[in-house]
Amino acid sequence: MMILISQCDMKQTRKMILLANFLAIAIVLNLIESAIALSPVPGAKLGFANVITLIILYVYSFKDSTALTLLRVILVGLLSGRLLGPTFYMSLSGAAAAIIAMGILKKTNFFGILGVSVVGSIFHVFGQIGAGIFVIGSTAIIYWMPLMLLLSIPAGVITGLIGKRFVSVWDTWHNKIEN
Amino acid sequence: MIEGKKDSTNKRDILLITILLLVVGGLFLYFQLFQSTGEANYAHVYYGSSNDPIVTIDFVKNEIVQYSQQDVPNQYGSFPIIDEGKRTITLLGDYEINGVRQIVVIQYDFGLKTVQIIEEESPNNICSREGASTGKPLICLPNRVRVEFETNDDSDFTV
Amino acid sequence: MKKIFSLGLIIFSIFMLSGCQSEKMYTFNFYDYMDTYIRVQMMAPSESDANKYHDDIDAIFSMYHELSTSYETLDEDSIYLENIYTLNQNIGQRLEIDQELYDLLIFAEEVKEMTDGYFDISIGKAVDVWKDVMEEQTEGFEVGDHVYVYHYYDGEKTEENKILVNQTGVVESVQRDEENESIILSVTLNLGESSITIDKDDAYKKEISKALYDQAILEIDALDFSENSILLETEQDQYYATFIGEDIKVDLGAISKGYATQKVYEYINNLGIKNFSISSGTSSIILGENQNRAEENFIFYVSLANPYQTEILDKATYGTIKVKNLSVTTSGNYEQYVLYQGDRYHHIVSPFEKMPVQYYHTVTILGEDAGLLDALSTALFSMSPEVMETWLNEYQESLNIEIIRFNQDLTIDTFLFDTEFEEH
Repeated sequence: MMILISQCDMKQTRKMILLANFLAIAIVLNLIESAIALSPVPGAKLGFANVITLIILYVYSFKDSTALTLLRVILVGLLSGRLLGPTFYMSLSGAAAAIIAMGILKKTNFFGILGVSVVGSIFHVFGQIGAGIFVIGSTAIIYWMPLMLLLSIPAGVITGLIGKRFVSVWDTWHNKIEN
Repeated sequence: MIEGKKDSTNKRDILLITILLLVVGGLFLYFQLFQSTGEANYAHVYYGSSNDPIVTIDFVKNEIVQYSQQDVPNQYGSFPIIDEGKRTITLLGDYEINGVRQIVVIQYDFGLKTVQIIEEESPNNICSREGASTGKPLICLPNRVRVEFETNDDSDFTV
Repeated sequence: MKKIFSLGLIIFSIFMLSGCQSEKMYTFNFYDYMDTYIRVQMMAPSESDANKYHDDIDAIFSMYHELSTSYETLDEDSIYLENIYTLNQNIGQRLEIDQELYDLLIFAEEVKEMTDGYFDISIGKAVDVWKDVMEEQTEGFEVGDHVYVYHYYDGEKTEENKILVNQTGVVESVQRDEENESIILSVTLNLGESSITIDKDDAYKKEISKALYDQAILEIDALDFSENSILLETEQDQYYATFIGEDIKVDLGAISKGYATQKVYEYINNLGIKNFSISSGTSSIILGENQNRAEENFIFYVSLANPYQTEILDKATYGTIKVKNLSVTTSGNYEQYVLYQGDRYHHIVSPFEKMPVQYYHTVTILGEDAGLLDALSTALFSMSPEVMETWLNEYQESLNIEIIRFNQDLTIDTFLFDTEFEEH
């Protein structure tokens, strides 16, 4: 009994530490993406930090992933000094749309991690465009949507491939530690 | 994981991605092809979420029309600032550096009928990287400034 | 890896397809010539061809710009003999000029005869009087200023509240912003029997003062154009011009743009290029065929600017014509003018009245020769409707020109053959 409990505790702590690390990586990815400015629309993002969201979704749970993603968006907002600014709302909306879409799609078990990632990437765009319309007060931003969607597909494929590789490595590695 | 299942989800993934690519690619091409070939009549400059422009650049009569002042705190002075010599319109953006809001400078050209954001502070100055536009809306999200064109598809020239 | 590669290939080809074209359309922009922005768009088989075309066209515009300017002398190292500026500085003197300038002056005099004097390049001093008036106009509103009110809104800005005024009022008082004196909130005007207060939602325009107007009238009355004449001679291969007259000043502004543009058209036509367009400023264009409207027989849609916009929300254009392979020129009073008692005073000056006359807001001519059209649109602008109609009876067919005129009573008259004109 005692051994089981302590094992439980250890697992929890290890999970917490791992999640914290993932969060840090996600934040860094987000900040790097802002710095490189790959997106055609100033202020919007292609969502490379979503790779962490995707990984947590598969390796832990939907709840964990949602919590981590929200934390990431808020922390990035605080760090860059633009909490509650227009880019914050777009990031939040995009990330939320992405994780919800990915969560639902994963549950159906119909597609693999690659498909889920691409769909997440697409919904990330929808979420940003939606928030963008509110923030900027006009539908002019829809002009950019086709291009952003087009770019989000390869972005989603890349994050999906990274995620897929990571998950297969994780399975081997994590199980090794647990045993 | 069962090998067979992995294969079928893999196949479905590839199928999904291909379909999405075709659909989005088609959407994109459709929009590209149906770009207006007409010239812009006006470019309206907006700030914030307002749907009334603050300034309009009139490419038909080659003049600038200002409707109102930007609602800004006293210490910044009055905006917009219109300089017809340098052909610029300057607005106060939302983006702050050390708590101080930054300006956004928009340049227009009656001859080329273009508008361009030439100076602004936003992460990496991405707004001013958009270049000159003859119809594409210029959107500077961090500053909440946008320029939208009113083009007439049924007009190749105006005399 | 294969997946990513084929994905990349698909995306790449999509991007390539969207930018795909065979022969390319090139655009040349000229900012420095004849006080206007000129844009030439033409098809060219290659970039090096396009560069040659650009340089040749630049040379044509540059030449006519140098020869026809009345603001400054030729450069010291110029290859030309004289320009209009120096000819104007040497009234009465017989000076040798280049053949191109000679041809242009001969042409201008022919048009003067054809239009019975309604087109006259020698009245530069009268044009200058009104140019100065336009420059004297000051900004802002002071008590005592005259303001012409088109209409105003009694209360909220809705169609029901719109009240037509069309009268001049005198400023009684100005209401300014408390914190910022330079911001004018509203102006109260005395209209004679009543007073109204107008603000930025209403349609009005400040007028010039009576003093300024009277001064201009004095100046033009003092001008005597009866002795004006331009003597053009040629001996062997040399050309000479003599400007004669006490008050003569030659101003080619109403013809040089169109004339130069016509020369550029001839150049493009000689190359056998069909898809092109030339637009000189907003008033003069020459069109070839429009490759973007293949399904409509390659025509261009040309909109006619609405000269009577009292509010920004008014229509920008009042009609559209569908044309190709011709020239379209518009003369109008709406781009630069000052108001006096509701009338517009601008740069199109009648050689007889020595001031702008009040029949039309714009006159648009369609035809084959841009130089001729440029001059004719100026001439017709000063003709009364009766004179214009008589003149058209005589010349419209032989010159093969078509007219659309926007009258000051806001009606539109057209004298068209088979060109399609659609009112908005």
